[in-house]
Amino acid sequence: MHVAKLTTKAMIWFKTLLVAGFYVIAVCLISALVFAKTPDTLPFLIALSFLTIQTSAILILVVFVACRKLLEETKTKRAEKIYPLIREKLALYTLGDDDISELQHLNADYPLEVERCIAEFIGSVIGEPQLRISALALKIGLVKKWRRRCKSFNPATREEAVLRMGQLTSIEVNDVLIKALDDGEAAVRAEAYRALIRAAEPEQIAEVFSHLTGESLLIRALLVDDLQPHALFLVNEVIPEIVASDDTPKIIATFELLGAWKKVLPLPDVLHLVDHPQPEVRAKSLRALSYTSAGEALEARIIKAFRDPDDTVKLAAAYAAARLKVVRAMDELERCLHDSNEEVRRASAYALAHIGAPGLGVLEREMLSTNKYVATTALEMLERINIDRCEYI
Amino acid sequence: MMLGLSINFYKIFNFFEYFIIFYVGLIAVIYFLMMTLGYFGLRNYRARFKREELEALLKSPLMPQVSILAPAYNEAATCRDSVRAMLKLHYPNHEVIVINDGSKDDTLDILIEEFRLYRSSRVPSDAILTKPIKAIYESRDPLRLVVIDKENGGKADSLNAGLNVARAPLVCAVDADSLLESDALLLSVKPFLEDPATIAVGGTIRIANGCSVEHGRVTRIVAPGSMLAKFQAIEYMRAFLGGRVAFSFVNALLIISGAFGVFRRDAMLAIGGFFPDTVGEDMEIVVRMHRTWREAKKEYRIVFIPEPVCWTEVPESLKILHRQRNRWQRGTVDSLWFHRKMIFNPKYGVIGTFAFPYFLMFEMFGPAVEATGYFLTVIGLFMNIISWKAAFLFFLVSVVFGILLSVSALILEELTMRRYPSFTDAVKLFVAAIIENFGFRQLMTLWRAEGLIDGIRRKQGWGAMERKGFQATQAVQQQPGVPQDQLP
Repeated sequence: MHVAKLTTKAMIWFKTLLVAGFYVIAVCLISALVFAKTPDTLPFLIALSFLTIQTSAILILVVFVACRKLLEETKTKRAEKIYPLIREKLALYTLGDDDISELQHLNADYPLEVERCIAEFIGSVIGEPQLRISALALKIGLVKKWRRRCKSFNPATREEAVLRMGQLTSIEVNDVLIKALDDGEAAVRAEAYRALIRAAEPEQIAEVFSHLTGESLLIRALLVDDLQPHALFLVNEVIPEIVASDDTPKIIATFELLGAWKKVLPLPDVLHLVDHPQPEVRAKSLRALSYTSAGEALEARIIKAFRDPDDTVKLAAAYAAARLKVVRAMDELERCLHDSNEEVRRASAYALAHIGAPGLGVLEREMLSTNKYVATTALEMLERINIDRCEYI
Repeated sequence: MMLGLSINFYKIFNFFEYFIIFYVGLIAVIYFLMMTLGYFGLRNYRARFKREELEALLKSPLMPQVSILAPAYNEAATCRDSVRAMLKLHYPNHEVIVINDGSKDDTLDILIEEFRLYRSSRVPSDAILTKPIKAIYESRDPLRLVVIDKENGGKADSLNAGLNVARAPLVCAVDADSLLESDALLLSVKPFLEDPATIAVGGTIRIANGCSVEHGRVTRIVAPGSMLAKFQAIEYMRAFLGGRVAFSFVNALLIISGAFGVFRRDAMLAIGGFFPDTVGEDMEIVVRMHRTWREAKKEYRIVFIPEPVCWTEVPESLKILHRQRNRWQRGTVDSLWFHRKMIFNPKYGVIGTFAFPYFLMFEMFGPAVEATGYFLTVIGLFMNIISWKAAFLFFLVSVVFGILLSVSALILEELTMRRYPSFTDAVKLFVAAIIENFGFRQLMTLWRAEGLIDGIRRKQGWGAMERKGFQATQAVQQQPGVPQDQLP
């Protein structure tokens, strides 16, 4: 398990045990001090003491909850009053007014509100104003504060700090962001990745992508769209190295991302991976390759994949054949229409329908098949092609 | 001689009385500890996605497909809205599989007409043995809906049929009338994406009685109107925010509610799906998962998400509540009996050494011991065998500690989830948290004790569950032996 996650878990245990320890001590103290003169049995004393402590704890918590609600309301009211002034000063500053004395005063009196407004501004402006706001954050000590918060035990605090740091421009914060890529909390890592991708420095993008292929599916799912604009750069600079490596999980993750981008890209020579010993690599590479321009060699591999012992590879082959409209694969598709696996049958039917007239001809013929499964699949596909449903592959 | 016997009887009686006091007190202490652990665990937990994250995930092609399995028996009144609500869930890649479990009303006809269903070419796999499937339907419209029409076989059998038809890597088992929050699937899939070792995820079940429901969605959250439902709301808070968070924290979660649970399909198939010969199939399957994975010495996680993801209607009549509690207790007995090999067995780690013994001692036998305590206290006082102090002590640990627990659960809810926005609702629930310990809890204890006896006698059957319905008053009849409602 990740060190940070272990630390968080240990902290939760520690706090729980601390509370339990406090209760034990408090029960002993109250039994000895408050109920000492009560001539009762030990269990009775313990129960009474526990009752006293827990009732007090509940009362304290009720008061705490009430105070918190009250405080929140007061803060909101205060913020509502002061926000317009802070925003006005910030707007003036972004427009070129270099006098920050008033903002500094406001920061001294309303640090939380100023921080919130600055965070709002950084996120909503670009170019020169963003540079100026970033510089202001540095001047009034916010950057230092956020840097400190990046080390907090609370994941939510770390996440917010990394988000803020990532929004800064022209200030060297890469060290913090790169460090945050190893955070135990997925949300913190995601923020760091996003910030580094936004910065769009070629070296960073390469490093981020390499790091990302080793990440959890959650992070990849979150960032797949952010990375898409850099697809061409990645295909040229980073991906060849990854696919040439022996790191199978990274290769699979790379193909997943390539497939998810659904972009026609000049992929490096990855045809050999269609023969990889792992079925997942074979299937994922076929799907990714379906976004390249078809060639003789690729078509031959697709046709060969229909004979693969693994059904997921056959499904991927059907997907590729459908996307690239590989007419040469018709015989194999017709054969797979009789496959024992229902998914393969349906995927083949889908591919035949997408290939065009010759494929539709096959489906029309198979509609009359004596094999009722094949006949139903063919008939169903002819209907479904009209509503564009292909979720089964 | 007689005096000696009498003194011994007095001693034994008092020993039992104090043993029960200790036992009931110990349960309360363990619960307080679990709540504390739950509180600190929840403080570090951010379940909700931020808006940008939600947007990114909703259009991400990398999100795994989820098949929602919804068994339906005589759901003609609600099936349209329920299915539409499930289809509209915020998830980029999900299909809804409704399993019509031999309904005697026109559930199937309504679904065929409403969603323009046709007989699909889908063929169920024979991975799990189920009652015969008559037909599989899909929609002519661009809806990802599959309806399985099968012979009646009960909830577990229906879910197994759904598992045989589903093709997605993740399956979500729900009740046909479960009201899911719009991002329920996204939230519950998160643990699977974060850690590939996750094999099952359960979420908090909330009580929808009294809430406004529109088109299968809870639109306004309020505390239940009836006192009985309020008591159950408090019970659910205590169980979910305290117990389940703590059990999940040590990877020892033994129950995933039948009303909402997400599972890895390959994991379900590997263990043969739901076990139909129990009324507690939701607990049994989770226990079996623990057992299988621990025996195989494979890394795994069974996770509870504290975010409320599913809303359900609870019984508002004592008769139905009685049946439900009896059934839950029988389910617990079944699961513990089937997997008794794990009890106190260090080979099963925290499950064998903590979770199972806890469930055996406190969840299974607890109600019987507590009920005995009430009985002994009354008899003892009446016959002047025990002192008033002993009786008061029993009252203190059973009733007063119970109040403290319920109020603490309410505060935990307020400190963490805060789902009831109105101050009046909080006050109402606070009052209910106190009152439930005078009568309601004792009644539950008795019913659960009765359930324990029925469980030991291997009494089967679910009993009928009548629902008021979210939109209009309705009564869903059910034959004995046919599953209908959900078990948190």
